[in-house]
Order: sequence, then structure tokens, then C-alpha cells
Amino acid sequence: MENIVGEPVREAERLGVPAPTLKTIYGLLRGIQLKTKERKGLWKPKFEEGNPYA
Amino acid sequence: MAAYALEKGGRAEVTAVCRSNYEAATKRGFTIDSLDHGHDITGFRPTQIRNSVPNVDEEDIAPFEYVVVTTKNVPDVSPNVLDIIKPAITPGVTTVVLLQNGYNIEKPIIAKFHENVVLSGISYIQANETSHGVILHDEADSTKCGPFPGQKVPTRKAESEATRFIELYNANGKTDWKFDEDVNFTRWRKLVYNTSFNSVSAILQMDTTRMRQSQVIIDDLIRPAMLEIIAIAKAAGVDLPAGIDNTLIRVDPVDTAFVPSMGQDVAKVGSCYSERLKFSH
Repeated sequence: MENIVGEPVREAERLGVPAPTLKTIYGLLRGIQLKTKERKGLWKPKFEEGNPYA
Repeated sequence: MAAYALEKGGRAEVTAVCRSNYEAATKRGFTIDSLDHGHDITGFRPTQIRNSVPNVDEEDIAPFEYVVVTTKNVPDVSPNVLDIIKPAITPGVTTVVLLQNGYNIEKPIIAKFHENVVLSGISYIQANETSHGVILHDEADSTKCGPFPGQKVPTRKAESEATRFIELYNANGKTDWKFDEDVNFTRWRKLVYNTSFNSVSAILQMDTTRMRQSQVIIDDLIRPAMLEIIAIAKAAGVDLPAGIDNTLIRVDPVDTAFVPSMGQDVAKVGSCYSERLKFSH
């Protein structure tokens, strides 16, 4: 989904086009992706150094 | 299906990289139920089947004229597409065909291999591997293929590579690949659907028919997302046709509960994408 939603969101920022819906959709997909990565052992749910939300 | 079409046309020899289906492919060949090619194909094997990407230098094999990438493009997981295909590419010789959706997917390939032609393939095919080595192909293999803009190779060379590949592909007599005069237009147009219906189906785990029946999902999510893509495309220099949002909101059949590919992927394993690679001589 990075190339399908992520890239257009980045283009929007670069070009100064408002894209609130796409940004929200992108955020939700990233969340799904993270859950999958955790399940596959590609992401560890811990607070990395410098995370302000710890 | 790309491997099948290319071999059937008799003008290409395909080396297919199969991973989870490697055993089924080598032992039994592929069983294919295809809208274009016939419903009872059994024992199909490309000229070569491997379970790893060929390393042209190390293995001292002849350069590939084309490398056709049919995986989904997941750049945030290693290895990415460039890492995967690098060993099979001969600088200045191999033409890379990216049969994948998305934006800016060609950039890393062109950056690394600026002497190689990189072609865009936007496909409208529907084909699924229902179990290892068993393929159901139920929507016509019609693809738009053309050179990505922004390459160092001369435009004329890139265009003639595209035309040649389309000829090799369509030689089977059943498929309908066409030359893409405007790759950016084609890609942005596909994004209108993929950033809206496809993405929302993944999040909601819902089919597009129900979304339209709800009305509110179209009004609150699908149409706003589509209009944003149309505006971004316009700012990027691509004018999509007026009313394209209305067209694409109604494009899917309503007699079935159609779940687009990202919705199906999340349903299957919770992951956004699975992988499959094919290469061709």
C-alpha cells in the first residue's frame, strides 16, 4: 500500500494539495501493515529510543 | 498467466521463479482455468522453473531480454523489488517490465539501471492461485504497456521495446495488450479506484456492493478520496476525465459481493500483499 496510497499522499504534500481523507486511509492501512509485521516477527511492539509517546 | 501467454505465443522462453508453489509447479505443472485460453489446461510448465532469482553473472547464463515483475510492490519490507530482480538484470540489455500498480515504482529501478528500459504494465486481469499450482483466471488479460517517463534511455528505444514486448505477448492470439501512450495518466486513473474502494475494502473488510448500498461509505470515504486523487493528479499535470469519480463508483458488478485485491489480502493473512515472481528470456 506504500506505492498505492503512500506515494500519492507524499505527492499531495509536495504539491500542496489537501488530502485529509487519503491521509486517514493511509494511516489506517499503515496500522494494518504494522499488525501484520508484528504477527510475522518483522516488528517488535516496544518503545524505541526517542519515542515521545513512552 | 503472463508466463502462459508468453510461452503459448511460441516466441518467448520463460524462466519462472516460483516459491511457495515451486513443488506443485515442478511436479504437476500448472492447472489453469482461463477465460482467455481455455478452462481445462493441465500440466503447464514454463521452459524453466526455479525457486530463486537467477544470478546472471554468478551462474554465467545468457542475459535475459526481459524481466517481468508480477509481485505486489511492498517497498517497506526487505527485500524490495530492486533487491529481488538485481541479479537477473544485465545493464544496458535487459528490459524490466513492472506489471504492478502504484506510483513512483520505477524510480529505484531507473536510478540503479539507467541504461535499461523500464516498462509500465497496468493490468485489468483477474487471476488467482486458489491452491498451489492451481490458477483461476476469470477476467480478460488486457494490459496497457508503455515506457515510464523520466528515463535516460532514448524515448524511441523505450517505445520500440514496449511494442516488441506487446507483440511477443499477444502472439498467443487470445490476449489484448495495448500500447500505453501516457503511462502517468493510466497509473493515476488506476489510483482513483485503488486508493478508495480497494483501500477501504481492506480496512472495513467489506465488498464494494455493500459500500454502495450503504450510501454513506461512498459519500464519506470513497468519493472524497477519489476527488483528492483527481486533484493531486491535476497538480501533477495529469487531467483525468470529468466525472471519472461517478464512473468508477459504479464500475464494479453489483450482482456479486466484489472484494478488491487488498480486501482479499487482508482477509487471507492480514498482510497487505503476497508475492510471486516471473521472469522471461
